[in-house]
Amino acid sequence: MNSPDPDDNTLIRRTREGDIDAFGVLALRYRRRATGLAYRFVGNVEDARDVSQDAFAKAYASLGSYRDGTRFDRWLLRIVANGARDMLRARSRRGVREPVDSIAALPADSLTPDRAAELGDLKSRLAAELSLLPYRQRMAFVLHEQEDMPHAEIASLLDEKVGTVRWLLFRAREQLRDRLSDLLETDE
Amino acid sequence: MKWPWKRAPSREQALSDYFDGELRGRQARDIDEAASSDPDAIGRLATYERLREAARSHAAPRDELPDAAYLAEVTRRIEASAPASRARPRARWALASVSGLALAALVAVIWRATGPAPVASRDAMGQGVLAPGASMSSRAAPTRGAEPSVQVDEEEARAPERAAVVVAESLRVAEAPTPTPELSAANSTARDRDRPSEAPGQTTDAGATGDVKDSVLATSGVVEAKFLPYTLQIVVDGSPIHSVGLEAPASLEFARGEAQYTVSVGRVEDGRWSVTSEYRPAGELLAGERRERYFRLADADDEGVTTREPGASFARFRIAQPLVGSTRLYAVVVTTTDARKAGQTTLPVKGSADAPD
Repeated sequence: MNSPDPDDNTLIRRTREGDIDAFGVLALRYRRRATGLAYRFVGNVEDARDVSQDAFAKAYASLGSYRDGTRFDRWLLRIVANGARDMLRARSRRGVREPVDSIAALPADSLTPDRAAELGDLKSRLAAELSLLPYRQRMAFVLHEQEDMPHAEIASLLDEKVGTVRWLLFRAREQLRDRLSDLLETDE
Repeated sequence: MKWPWKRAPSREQALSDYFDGELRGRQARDIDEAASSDPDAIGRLATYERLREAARSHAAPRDELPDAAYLAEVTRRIEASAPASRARPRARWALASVSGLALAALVAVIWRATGPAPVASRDAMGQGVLAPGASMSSRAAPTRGAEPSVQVDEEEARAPERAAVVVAESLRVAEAPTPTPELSAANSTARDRDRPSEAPGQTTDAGATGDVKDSVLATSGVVEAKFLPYTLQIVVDGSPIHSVGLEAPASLEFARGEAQYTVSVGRVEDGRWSVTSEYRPAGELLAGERRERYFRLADADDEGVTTREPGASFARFRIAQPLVGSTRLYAVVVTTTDARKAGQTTLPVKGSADAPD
């Protein structure tokens, strides 16, 4: 290892030269983030891990098409988001409802009013409400608000126009605002 | 042109865009003003801010799987997705690696002793290819930018005279190095041999048998093949499905089934030709794989031109490159006259769909 903390581009270059350990460093560097993003879509840790591991395998196989100068983390997150989408679609085809880990990720309609009030925490309720949003709205919101991805990149990922992404974000915010109005108004 | 029925974003949406810093011009100034005086706008922006804070502070649960186990699974998936790795047992690969090193050393000694030998001919239609992302633990860097690696199997080691076949090859895209011809040839031939063949009727890639939809999506730089000495053909199981006159730069984008392939031919500064293939699997947003090779047409003269196999419809060829993403698709450079003799069409593709294989 040339440096104790080589940057992404160095690791990619070394991977291309056959240094597989360099890719291992990259994978561990972004493991949490990739799994975290996948989790926001698929709703449980095992599936999220599955998606992220698959994404790393695809990223490795696609390093030939990776353009130098682009940010590896965003490139990787696009692959993760695609993988999560594919998993959701597969579940949908099989009629499987999204498995969830915790009460925090339960859909709001499965909560009794008492239980919802008991949760009473904006962050937890937000996770629940996010899982109820239409897929594209959820994707736009998560990628922009949680991953800080610019509109243009989300547009590229969703194969939509930037204007559509703005509209999706707006719709997501409005729906969340309506559904979480009790918490948002109370806290304001 | 602005369509008359195209509506401007509502004021509410403008607030959302403003919140993201995406609003410009007069509308931005209006919202700017409202953000400090209009209670509705102020409340809405505050809500958006709270949602953002909540979203960013809500961490996903930690995955407790140890790093080593996580990486081991990633490695397993990489190996599972590489056909070459599947096809070849590890023990055989280990043996091949050792043999390859021995051959490489032998070739290096010969090379030093004799100096740069004139370029010999080669059997360009080997089988197999560097599998992108073949293995984390062994040979294949998945990429452009990598130096050509030397991979030779034991068969190659037993027949060192085969090292005389030559193809200048590189995986580098931006800067094409000049690899030792013998090593490159050995590398190429060995990889080609390792390529698993598909059983008849197997549909592991886009080139399935039967009524595969096959169509040309776009071409550029395509010229009348009859005026050119060489023809680039896309070949499936020995039969050409697309054929263009080879005058670089040219590119051919075609779809088989739902997968898409792009083959580009170009020239690099030192006069070599490059053949690049890209593959985008069905349903993928990103191009899945890319491969680039460099070669000199002079590297394969008529003496070395051989048939791929008895009965193959393209009898003579200069060089063949397996396309990335498929085990049955090849980009083949043939002399135009040979192509005609073999009874193949050498008409340029003009954007129409070819007959499915």
